Amino acid sequence: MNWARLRILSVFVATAVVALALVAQAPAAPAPRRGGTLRIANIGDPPTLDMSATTVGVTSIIGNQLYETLFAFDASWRPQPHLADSYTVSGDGKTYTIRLRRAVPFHNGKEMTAEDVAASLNRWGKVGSRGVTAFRSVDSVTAADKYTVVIQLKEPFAPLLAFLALPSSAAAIMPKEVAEAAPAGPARDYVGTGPYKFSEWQPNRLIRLTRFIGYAARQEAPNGYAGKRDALADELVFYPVGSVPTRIAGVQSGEFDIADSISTDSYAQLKTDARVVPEVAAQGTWLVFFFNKQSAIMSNVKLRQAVMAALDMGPIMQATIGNPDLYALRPNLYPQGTTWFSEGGKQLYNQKNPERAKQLMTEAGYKGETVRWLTTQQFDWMFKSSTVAVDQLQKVGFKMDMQLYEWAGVIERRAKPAEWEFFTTGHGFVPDPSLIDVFSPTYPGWWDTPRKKELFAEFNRTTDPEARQRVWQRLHELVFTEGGWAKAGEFFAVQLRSRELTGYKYVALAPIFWNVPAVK
Amino acid sequence: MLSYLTGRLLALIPVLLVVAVVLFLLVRHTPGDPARVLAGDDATPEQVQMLRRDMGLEGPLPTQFALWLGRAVRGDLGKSLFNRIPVGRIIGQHVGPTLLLSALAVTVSLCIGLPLGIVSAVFRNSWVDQAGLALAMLGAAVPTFWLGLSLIVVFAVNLGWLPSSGFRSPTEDLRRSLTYLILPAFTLGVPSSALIIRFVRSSLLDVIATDYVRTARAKGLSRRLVIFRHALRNALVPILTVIGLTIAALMGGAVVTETVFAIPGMGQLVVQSVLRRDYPVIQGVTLVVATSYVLINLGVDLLYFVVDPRVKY
Repeated sequence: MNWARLRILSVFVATAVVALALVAQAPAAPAPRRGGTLRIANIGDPPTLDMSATTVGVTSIIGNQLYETLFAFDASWRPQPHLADSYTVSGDGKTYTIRLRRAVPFHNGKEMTAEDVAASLNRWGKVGSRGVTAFRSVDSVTAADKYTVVIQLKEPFAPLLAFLALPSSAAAIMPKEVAEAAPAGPARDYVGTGPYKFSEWQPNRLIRLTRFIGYAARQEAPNGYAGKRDALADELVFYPVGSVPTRIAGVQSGEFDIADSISTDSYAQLKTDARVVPEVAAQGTWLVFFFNKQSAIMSNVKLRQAVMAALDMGPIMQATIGNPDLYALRPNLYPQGTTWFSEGGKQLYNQKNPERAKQLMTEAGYKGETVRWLTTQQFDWMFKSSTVAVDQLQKVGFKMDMQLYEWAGVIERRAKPAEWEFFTTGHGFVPDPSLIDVFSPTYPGWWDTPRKKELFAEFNRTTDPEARQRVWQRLHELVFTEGGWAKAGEFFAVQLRSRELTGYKYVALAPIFWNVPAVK
Repeated sequence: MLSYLTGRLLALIPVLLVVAVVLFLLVRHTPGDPARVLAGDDATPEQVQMLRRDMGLEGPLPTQFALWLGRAVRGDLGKSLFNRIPVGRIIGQHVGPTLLLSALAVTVSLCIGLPLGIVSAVFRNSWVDQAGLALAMLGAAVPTFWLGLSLIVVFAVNLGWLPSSGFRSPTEDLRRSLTYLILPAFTLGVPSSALIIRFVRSSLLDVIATDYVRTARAKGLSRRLVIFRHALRNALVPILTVIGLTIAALMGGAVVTETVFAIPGMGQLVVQSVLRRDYPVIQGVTLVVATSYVLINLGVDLLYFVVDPRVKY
């Protein structure tokens, strides 16, 4: 190689090095777009924005942007400290010492302290249904110092952090004065620590949240609900739009960025529409038929097994949802590949065996007593699934009486043990099995046999993850063998978003609108 | 006249009292409990009880009714069990959109119904009459939700000329407010115009057949003058009744149209509060709607007096 060539080569190398250095110095990604408004069409107006006091879905959708919890689920559904900075658990599993982050302001400007956290949690233990359940194991919640909260348990309660992280009937942290002003019902003032703060509520027209300028964000990378929350849009406006076609038309015509709860019928057509993207929830909603274990006839486990033997879940799910992309026929409460996957009891799912059902009915001594099934036409999927299931049971010889009420009527009636045998409902995904309603002894259906009580208590007591997993396998099987409920299948909720809206990912439990740049 | 007016206004009191009692009984005996709606699926009986106390739903029904009535006569209709906003204010927020929508819908139905009805009557049994009749049948037969959604698909989604749903207050921006109301006003106005076409036609035909109209024509008056000055004025009385009934019906809220177009009016308010069993709101709204119904009918009766001097009270 001669000198001239070497010089040219060296110039090339030097240029390449400089170019590489410049590339390395350049920002890895452009700064996220800020400003604008995210416009979300919901199914209706929420009854309240206080997400501690209710499990209503619309409240969680809005409240989750407003309030925060001590812990938040990451993308793998593990609770991570959020308003908490760190925590320790005593050797006997009965004392949780939680250190709080400092300099976290509420929307009213006041700094969050342990006093606020203790007041919020103690209130949640009374007004939030999840809180009431958790507080059966809680002895006290106290402020040890300005930034330390101590939760003293009566007995070890392994899912405590999952309860504290759940964004529905949430352990939302609010100022002490706000919490104490509403000890028995929903809060009157909506003050939290979230990236957005409450701005205005025009009933049946809109709810507006605006970016909270003083928001104290975590510094870790966003991960599920955990990590950094950045209010990129200036405002979030939620519109109550009761009609599904109107919600769809609003996204198509560019008036809304997101429409919640789109009918499964329109899914196939919307997939081909260049203006919009239908987003299917990754986690399914379980379509379940609850047995009344306190009813004169359904208290007989053999009769519950007869029902499970008779039901053919394929036609039920087909008639209810239609599009096979949007439902799954499976016995498992959690899908394969997840922590809580279990196949326990799967042989009792979707048996479609009328002969076996009839045999069990005889063994149970069924004499043609009326079986009352509560449902509603207010939610189409409840009505359709109940209609097919009732028909199937009638064919094996049950004397069925399908009773239609508005949803408010169903929830009142199902609270009375003497008035029903079945009701239909949906159960949204919950990150920890202890949060599943069927295990709650106070939930209508009242499953509280000694075996279930013992296993569920063991499941909640066991803190070792592997041991807990083993107990779960047995508990999962028990749901089938004792007939806690009959799961028909699961369906996947659909949201519609504008194609221009990028950076948004639908999480059905409670959507995340922070870290999402607005289109307009 | 004055005694007539006083009598009619005094009659409002027993009407409202009966409405209040019947409604209170109906609502409270319908299955459903607001505390359960709010507390959610997993609420314990103690929690529901606590919430009922917090909502002020404890105590015997007659006592609760007496308390509510006592406050209502002083103008206090209570607060929503859910968002705690005073019922009076909630109604105030929802009555505006409904009034505006009703006014526009009635304008639309009059603009379509009056001319078509007159033309149908004047050119009786001609093709114009047949076309008007067909249009009236179509207008009456088309379901409101279908008409509304079709208008949304054509004018909002495909053409992009008008917003698909929602409401803007005219005090914020009158022009924008109207753009939001055009489609719902048509959705409501077209079916009621069908009724007006039929009424104007038949009422006008009755009058056209009378002797004085024949005399007027025989005198050599032009057909236009006879129709507009002599016949139409006399035909107006039954038409006024129809218009009054239409407005009164719209005041209770055009439930379907308001739902399709997401308009925060009385219809939406009623449906939502019934579904949630928000008792004070249901009672408040019903009282207001009943009052406006009676007052609108009174207004129509007074208009008869203006339109037809033979009417004496």
